[in-house]
Amino acid sequence: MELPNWVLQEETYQPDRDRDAFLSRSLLRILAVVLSLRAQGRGRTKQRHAGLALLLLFLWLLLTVTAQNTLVLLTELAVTLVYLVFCDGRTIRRVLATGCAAALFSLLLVLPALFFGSGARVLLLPGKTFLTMCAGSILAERYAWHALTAALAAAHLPQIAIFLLDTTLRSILLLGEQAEQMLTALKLRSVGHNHRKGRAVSGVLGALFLRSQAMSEEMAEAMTCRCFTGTYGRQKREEAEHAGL
Amino acid sequence: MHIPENYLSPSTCAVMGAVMLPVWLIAVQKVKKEVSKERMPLLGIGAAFAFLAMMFNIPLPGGTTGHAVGGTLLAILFGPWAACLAVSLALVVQAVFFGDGGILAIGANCFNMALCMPFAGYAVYRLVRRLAPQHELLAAGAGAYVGINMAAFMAGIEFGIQPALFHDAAGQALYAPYPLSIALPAMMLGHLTLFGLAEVVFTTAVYAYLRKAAPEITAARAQRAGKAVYALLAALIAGTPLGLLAAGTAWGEWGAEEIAETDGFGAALGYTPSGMENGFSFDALLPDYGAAGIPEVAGYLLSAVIGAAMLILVFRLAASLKRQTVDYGTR
Repeated sequence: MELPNWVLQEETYQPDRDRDAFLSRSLLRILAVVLSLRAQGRGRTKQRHAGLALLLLFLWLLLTVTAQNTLVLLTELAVTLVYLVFCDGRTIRRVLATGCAAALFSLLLVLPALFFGSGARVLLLPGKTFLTMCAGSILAERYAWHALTAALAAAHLPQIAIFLLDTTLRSILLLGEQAEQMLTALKLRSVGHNHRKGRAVSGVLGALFLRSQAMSEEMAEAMTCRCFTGTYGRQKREEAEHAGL
Repeated sequence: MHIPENYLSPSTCAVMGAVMLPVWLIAVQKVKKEVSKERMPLLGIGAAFAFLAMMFNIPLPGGTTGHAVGGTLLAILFGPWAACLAVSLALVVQAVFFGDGGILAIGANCFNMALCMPFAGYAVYRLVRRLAPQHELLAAGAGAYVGINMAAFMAGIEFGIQPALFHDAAGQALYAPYPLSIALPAMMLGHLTLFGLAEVVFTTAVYAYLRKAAPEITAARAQRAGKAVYALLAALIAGTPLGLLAAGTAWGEWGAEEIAETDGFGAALGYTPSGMENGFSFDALLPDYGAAGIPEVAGYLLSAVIGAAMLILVFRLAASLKRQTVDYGTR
């Protein structure tokens, strides 16, 4: 069979250089946030003792901040490192990256003091920052955010604050996924040179805003339907018993 | 055997560093290729073992101390290149965080304990295995003995050539003050006897224990460390304060302030070499495995835990960054 002439012709189509790095970058940012929320407490079916863990974290932070003695801080360092030894590689990487980044930043802050001769004591600050950030991110890695907000409810924090926190985290996740889909669509449709990409991005934001409004209305309706008054945990159960439900 | 800061001239340190640089690069390549992603954390535990072995100081009559290294044990378990990398990292952690061995002298220390020791020890181990295949422990012991003496010999030479090469107009040494005729016997005497024995005991005891309690590790099949390995690690950590019982300083590891009065195998020196007095200095996190205001035993235990955990974490991180390779049998 003979191929027609137009098939044999070599194509010389070279798409213009197009700047869509900003698209990929925002896409990656959003995906990273969604992923980190999804990864929290991943693979752990048991989320018990979240309240105890929160209390421990609070005491740990208090101890770290007030400690004047190197023995306490070194013991804390040893405990943190030994805990990490028994974690998986990804957790180790995340926790250490968080801790080291924060410690480096606070080291930059105290660097002038070091130059003006305040002695090595100012180095306590980066050390303490490292310990507190590591402890915080270990907790975040170990427990999913819904377990933590539930634990906050048990600690008698104002219900409205917990409700807001919970809703915010939930919305970040849902809207993040929406944004990711829209950005992917925009990227796929922008083959070749697309002049109107910048405008399209503002469109994405507008659409996202409208979507969030619709979501909040839907959520309010869902709350009404399920008799949810914005209270969690024990308090909710007590109220339900009170109403004879 | 840890050569402290300013005992070797900066130029000697530079030469040793230049020698070690390609060795480290090759070791990293070899380990990447030969050690699987799953076995990497195990290598970290091996490095932790070496770190702990070096904390057990043994006194020798005459006021000096020494310790086992464990380089040959690692070479037998993981191969000499992996042992080189593991011991190097243990030495770096010791120098940077615990002030044991100089920062500038890391190249020299790694040359002695992470290059000469595992390779010499491994070669002897293989040789004895070939001659007497059923005596595995004997081979391990012989390798350990030769390995640590090789390292001590190299350290002795590095100390000994300093006064000949670097001295001031008055003939006073700038760095390590004792010539080869003193440094070499002083280093070798301890290592040919007690410290060599300590290395042999450490290597064969740990190897025999692993062969019995975790045979999959000695057979190079283990993917992760079992309870037996962690139990041994915990026992070693708990035992580290025993190293404090040895009161003296190891030969060639005196502080700048004590060197003038020290009787370093001959007459007391009577002066402090100027290169040591005004040399490079570095403040470690836990100098000499302790800190001001902390009981000695607690400092030692904490140092053991922190150092061992750090080494394991380094290799776990490396393993988590390593890509999973699947052999499809195409090559």
